[in-house]
Amino acid sequence: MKKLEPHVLIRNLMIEIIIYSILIFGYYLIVLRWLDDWLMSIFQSNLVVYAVTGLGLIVIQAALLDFVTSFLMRYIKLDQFGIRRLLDVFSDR
Amino acid sequence: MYFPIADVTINPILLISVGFLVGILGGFFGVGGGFLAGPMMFWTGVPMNFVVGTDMAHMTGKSIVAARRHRSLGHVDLKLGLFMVLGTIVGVEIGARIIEALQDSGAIDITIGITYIIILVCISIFTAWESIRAIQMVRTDQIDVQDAIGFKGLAKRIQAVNIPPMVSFPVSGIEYISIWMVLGVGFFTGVLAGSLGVGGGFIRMPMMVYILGIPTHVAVGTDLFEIVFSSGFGTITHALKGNVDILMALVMQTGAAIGAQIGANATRFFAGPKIRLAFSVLPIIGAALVGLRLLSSGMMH
Repeated sequence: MKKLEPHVLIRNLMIEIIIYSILIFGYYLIVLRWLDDWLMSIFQSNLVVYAVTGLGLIVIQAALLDFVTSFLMRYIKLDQFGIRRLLDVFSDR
Repeated sequence: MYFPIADVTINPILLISVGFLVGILGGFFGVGGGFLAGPMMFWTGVPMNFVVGTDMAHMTGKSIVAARRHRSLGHVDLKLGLFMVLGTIVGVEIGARIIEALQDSGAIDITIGITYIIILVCISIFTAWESIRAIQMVRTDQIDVQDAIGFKGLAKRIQAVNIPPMVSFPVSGIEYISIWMVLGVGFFTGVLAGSLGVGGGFIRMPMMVYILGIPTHVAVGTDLFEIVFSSGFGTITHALKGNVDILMALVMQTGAAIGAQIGANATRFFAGPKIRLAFSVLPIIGAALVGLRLLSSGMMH
């Protein structure tokens, strides 16, 4: 793979960060802000249910985020841009 | 953003950034990153009683993402990971009981803190020395960079110990090893984690490489797989005590998931010795943070 100039690497990395930021902001607006009242009521009523629900939410979100980030890296070929190129500069393979 | 469970308002971008940074480190080095995330969360304004539990919860999610990524790269030995989980869980319990027993003797924080600093500094110096030696071996002896390790003696002796039952770990390239050695390493790191109050990631990863003879990439991936269970268990126990803000952990996890993917992917571009050389800096950071905590608590008294 052809090595890029540092300013192009940084530009591509910034594009990736902007795409990720938009996705995270959208996720925050759509999902996370609606969870607080519900979680608070479970937290106050039953800690066992809260603990199990909490761990369940963490696992579900991990699977979801894993899918989204893998999709971005693989299918939209984000890994061909900034981060991948940046790694190539330091790579020993 | 207001977090009603912890009753605190914190900028979510700060939390996402902490998650992102710790995610990169975790994905690349196979550590939970609690030694770094804890002080950073406290700095962003998370109440102290919520720091450890919430960090455990976000660590669980981050480790799932990173371990899945490492698994797709062939860097996770599931069989080895499950055996080590068994040893670690018993070790954590024993470690916690040792602390309880020692608590009455006073000055326990200083004794544990100094022990921890000595262990971390030794790990750091040894890993740096070994990895530099391995890099030099690659240059002078023309050996494959993936096989290069500057300290093979102990792993060879451990693998030669013939105490049944013997097991094989094909993913890690180990033909036969006594199950007691694997459980022992898990147990030892568990005792340290349980008594020192931190995850054993940066003790376990080098021990897997130098004592069991696991390749660095597999040690990183398998360590993350083990962290999924240990931090998941920790999340439940802390949540039952009311010390986990799940919403905060979910926000942190959005950054951590991306960081973990980047960190895990980055291991593809570096050979074992270079990963170990970069890793050698982490225990020093951990030791410095413990030292600062000891100094500040000493000043308070």
